[in-house]
Amino acid sequence: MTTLVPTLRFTDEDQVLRTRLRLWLQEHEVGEPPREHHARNTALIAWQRTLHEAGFIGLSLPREYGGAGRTLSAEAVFAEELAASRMPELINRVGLFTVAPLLMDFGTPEQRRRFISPILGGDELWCQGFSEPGAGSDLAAVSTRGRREAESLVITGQKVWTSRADISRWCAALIRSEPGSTRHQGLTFVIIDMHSPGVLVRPMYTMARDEHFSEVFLDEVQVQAQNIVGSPGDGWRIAMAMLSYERGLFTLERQIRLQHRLDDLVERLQLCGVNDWYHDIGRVQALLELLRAQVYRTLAAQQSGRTQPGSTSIDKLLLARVYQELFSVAHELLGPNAALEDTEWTHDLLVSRSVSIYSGTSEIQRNVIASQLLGIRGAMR
Amino acid sequence: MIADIEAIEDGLDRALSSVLSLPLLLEHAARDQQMNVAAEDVVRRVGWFVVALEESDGGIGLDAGGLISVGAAAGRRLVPIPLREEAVAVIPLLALLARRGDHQAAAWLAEALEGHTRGGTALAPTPAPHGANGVARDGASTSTLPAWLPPDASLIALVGGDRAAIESLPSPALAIAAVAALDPGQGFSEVSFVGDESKLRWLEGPDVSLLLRRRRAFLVGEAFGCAEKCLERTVEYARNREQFGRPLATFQAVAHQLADMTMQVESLRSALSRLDESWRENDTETADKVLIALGWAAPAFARSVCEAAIQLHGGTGFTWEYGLHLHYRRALQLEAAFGGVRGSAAAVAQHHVATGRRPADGK
Repeated sequence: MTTLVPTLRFTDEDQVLRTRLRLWLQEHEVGEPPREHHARNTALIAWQRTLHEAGFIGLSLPREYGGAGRTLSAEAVFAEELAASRMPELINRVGLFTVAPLLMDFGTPEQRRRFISPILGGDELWCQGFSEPGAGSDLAAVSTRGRREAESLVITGQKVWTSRADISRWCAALIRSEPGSTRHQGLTFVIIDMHSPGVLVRPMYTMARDEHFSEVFLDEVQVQAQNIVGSPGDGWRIAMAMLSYERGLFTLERQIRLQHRLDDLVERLQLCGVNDWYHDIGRVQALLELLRAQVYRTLAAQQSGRTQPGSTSIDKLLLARVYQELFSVAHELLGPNAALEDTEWTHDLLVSRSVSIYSGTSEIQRNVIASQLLGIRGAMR
Repeated sequence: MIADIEAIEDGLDRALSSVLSLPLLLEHAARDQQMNVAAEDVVRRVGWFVVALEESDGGIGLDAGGLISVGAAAGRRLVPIPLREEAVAVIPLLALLARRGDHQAAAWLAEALEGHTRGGTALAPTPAPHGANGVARDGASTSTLPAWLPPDASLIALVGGDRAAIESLPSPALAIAAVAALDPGQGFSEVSFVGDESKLRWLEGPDVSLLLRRRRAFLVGEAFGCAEKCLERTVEYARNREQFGRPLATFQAVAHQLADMTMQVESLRSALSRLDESWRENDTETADKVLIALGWAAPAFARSVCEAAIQLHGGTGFTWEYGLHLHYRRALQLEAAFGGVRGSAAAVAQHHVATGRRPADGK
């Protein structure tokens, strides 16, 4: 019986990094990136390259692959300082936070040499090809097929809600490679070159009017055997690992940006002379503290290689709750006139609805918690 | 360090479970009767009354993590509130006064550790934060103060905000009346000032502030323990209870509620761990921030988990004999102890606004 668990600790080296990074960020103020989609992407790629050239990207990756050979706590320092500075976020987060660690855990040395270095400077962007029209929450229903042909897989099918597919060079995708297989068996994790013949990307507008994700049509797309990650048929395990990497650093960055938004809201409430907001704001602030503590626990577990299967679903469920509660409270406190305008607050209220959907819905997270943390079997329906 | 704390928590939990059985707790609640002397002696022998004392004062020198863990054991086993308050408020305050050279307090401390002098706690008023609708941070209105007193109390500690006072009873400055309580068998009373409250000898300073923060750390641990126990009982029940030919837990509607309860319990565990870590690292800025956040979150989540537990047990959960209501009553008491839902949330906002808002620094 124990109440307390390990949490993330920062070393003296981390604190030196923090000071250096903070100074660097102050001296390299780039301001808000443009709003227009293409101009924004160009600016964000340039920003990631600048950070990489300064030595701040891939801190926890081995030196031989272009990283700094430090620990995950150094990455946490970077994520915290970047988010705290209000400078733009990294455009290649899928590559950096999920693909690079995935390749370190499951990839071949050749794959690591080929793919990790271009991730760091934003030279090659990545997207994640999991969801399909018939496989949203039920990811094991993936039906995009890979047909073996000599030394390659020939892939046909459709992915959807693929973030940044329009600008990505590579797609980390889950496909069904074993004929006659069903559910979690027979799936293979592949790296698809988005410049290959047969790849068609059609951007979709979100309800928040962002051009953030796309449909990806794959028509007889060739993937060489060397671009299969892990063993053919072992794709489910690798995909689940990839989802768990998403939680730690990604959620830490989200937490800090949400903290900024709460502070902006407080400032606005004070400016507008709104009264009686302390308990609503305090509730969200307390939830933000819980989220930060939860992320630190996850990062500590990831750093020691002892992540309990299913535990990161707590992070995702809590993130969705805090995110939605913050913008819901803002909506209520800022009053009916503010609610009618197209502002950053109403935009973020709309965006907040996506948080309990993307990367595994809150319902799926609850299924995972029930089955993997509580050991309840057969509660999926 | 966590391993040491785990051993203490485990040992204490086993010792408490041998005394505080569910039938006994139910009987005390039904009769609005406090624990008998024999049972208290057992609690005393496991070192309960020195849990919050420094080693130099005869205690075991538990740090914040230790107090949180002992608090969690208290929440699981529903240690009576007067016993909690003696351990985390009355006795440490006497020790503090003794360290300041107060001979009377030193004498009371020696008697209290032997069980010959008993004391309870009242929640004293603190200035209400702006926007908190006049609800004082530590749960008291200014006219009457909620208090929890053992039957033969000869001392009362008044705690609130960053100040505390200790008075011997009967006191010409205080009027005390027993009141029927939501949580019976806990010596609930109402205390009112006779004349000017400034007649009391209020103690302030860093040592008092630290003592009160340690008490709050214990209380948020207790709320966690309360929630964790309810979750544990509910998971077990839902696994074993069959309806429509299968275990309740296998219905998604039930499993999802269990998952939400787990999210609440585990996120509290994470925050308690961060509180412990920042305290041990002397990072008081983070420790204060997390402790204040837990002042809202721990009782609020404990209450929510208890309510879900009652719901998922169906009719069984609503019975007296099953006893979930005891945890629910405790969660509500803890909610009030931090100023109620709105008061504790307002305190979080007030602290955040007052202490600046740059959220990096690993904090």
